[in-house]
Amino acid sequence: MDLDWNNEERDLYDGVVTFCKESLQHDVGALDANSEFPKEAWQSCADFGVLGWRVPAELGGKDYPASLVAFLMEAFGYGCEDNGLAFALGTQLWGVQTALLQFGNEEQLEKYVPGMLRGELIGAHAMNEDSSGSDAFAIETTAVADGDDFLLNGEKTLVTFAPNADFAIVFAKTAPDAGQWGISTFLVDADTPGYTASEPDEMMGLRTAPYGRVLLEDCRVPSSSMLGKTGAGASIFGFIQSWERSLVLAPHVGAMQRLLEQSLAFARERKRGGAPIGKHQAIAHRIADMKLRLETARLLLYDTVRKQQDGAADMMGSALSKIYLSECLTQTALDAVAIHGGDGYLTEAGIERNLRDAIGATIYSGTTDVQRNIIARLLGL
Amino acid sequence: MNIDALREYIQTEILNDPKFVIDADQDLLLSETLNSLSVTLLIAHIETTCDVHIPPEDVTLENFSTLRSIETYIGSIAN
Repeated sequence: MDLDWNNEERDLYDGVVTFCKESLQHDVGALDANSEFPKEAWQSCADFGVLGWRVPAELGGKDYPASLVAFLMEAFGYGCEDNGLAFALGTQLWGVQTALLQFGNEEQLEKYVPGMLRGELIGAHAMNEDSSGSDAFAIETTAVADGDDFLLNGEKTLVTFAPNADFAIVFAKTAPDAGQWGISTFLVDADTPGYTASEPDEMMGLRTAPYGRVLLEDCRVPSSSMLGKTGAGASIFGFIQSWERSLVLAPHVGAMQRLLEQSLAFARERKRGGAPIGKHQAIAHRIADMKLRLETARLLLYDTVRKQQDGAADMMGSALSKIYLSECLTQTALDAVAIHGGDGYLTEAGIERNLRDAIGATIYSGTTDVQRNIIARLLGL
Repeated sequence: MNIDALREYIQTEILNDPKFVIDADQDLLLSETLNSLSVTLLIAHIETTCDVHIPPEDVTLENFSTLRSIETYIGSIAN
């Protein structure tokens, strides 16, 4: 399949794959077992420039178009077996940097972006609460004006990077009676008094991407920490989500390619009854379906991304893409386990980890059920 | 885009109810006549029809609570 990548872009893709295979040597299985964030690998990614791919040149970044960043994140998903690290990078690129670059003023950009590029600062996107979830705007965290400051109170849950973030983008109600239209957005440094981060939550998969809670107790922030306008929090959140849903799953395409190649090699090598297991129709058809999912998911991803970067808010495309890529990777990972049999079930080979990692994408950034609701409404139901 | 055009779009394309009564100063957001998905569709329609760009941070209660405030906002960015 040719998606019109030029030679320079293909060289960049190959460079990312090489970087992943040669420079990211951490023991993913061990870190996964301990739910441990690969700090050194993160720094290697920063040094390689991953965190600057989206950032404008004047701030020290590469200013690549979103479609190219998606292509390079596909390469990352292919070259790097640490799906949690790929997800963590995606949340920085699409969840945190999107917010800063679109809505941050000059002072806010200077304060946070260069440090993120160097790998010295990590941001968290703190929207979810126990009271909200799929009803995203039903948050209860408040931000009450107090002189030139705001006092933040509430608890954020399921926050990527909560345990080790240096700052968080916090959504809070500045006008509690105005529903979603009373939500505003704040940049809150993790060392602010009243800001407490939890230890990492134990998760089914993506264990190298730390998740946790952020507790805000009379957390005083200056009004200059507000991101965007008062009451624009819901719109800012929606904007971030439209990018994140379209793009955070780009590494899935690379992961599907990786699992296909691993399964293909195994099916050719492993023999039963005197013949490679790939000669058995049950195995061969699973691999054919893996190929079908890979190619169709790739088409949908780049179609959505290119519309998004052209300025068309493609709600239908991002919802379709979010559902399809997450469900394709889940089924492909399940097929990879089945093809590898007992080897796939044991943790040593790392095949089963891909299945555990895949499930998360059907939940984060809006569950697949919510995406189907969006599609149904857009179809007039 | 004037109040009548906005009203007609909301009635026919969003609410699927051409007879739904919407006064020019009637609240659309706090009353949840328009939900977040509806607002997104409305914005896309305004951007296409009026050839304007509406920054996400401008989508606030102040600018989008009534047909009249939307009309005023469109006028402010179109000039």
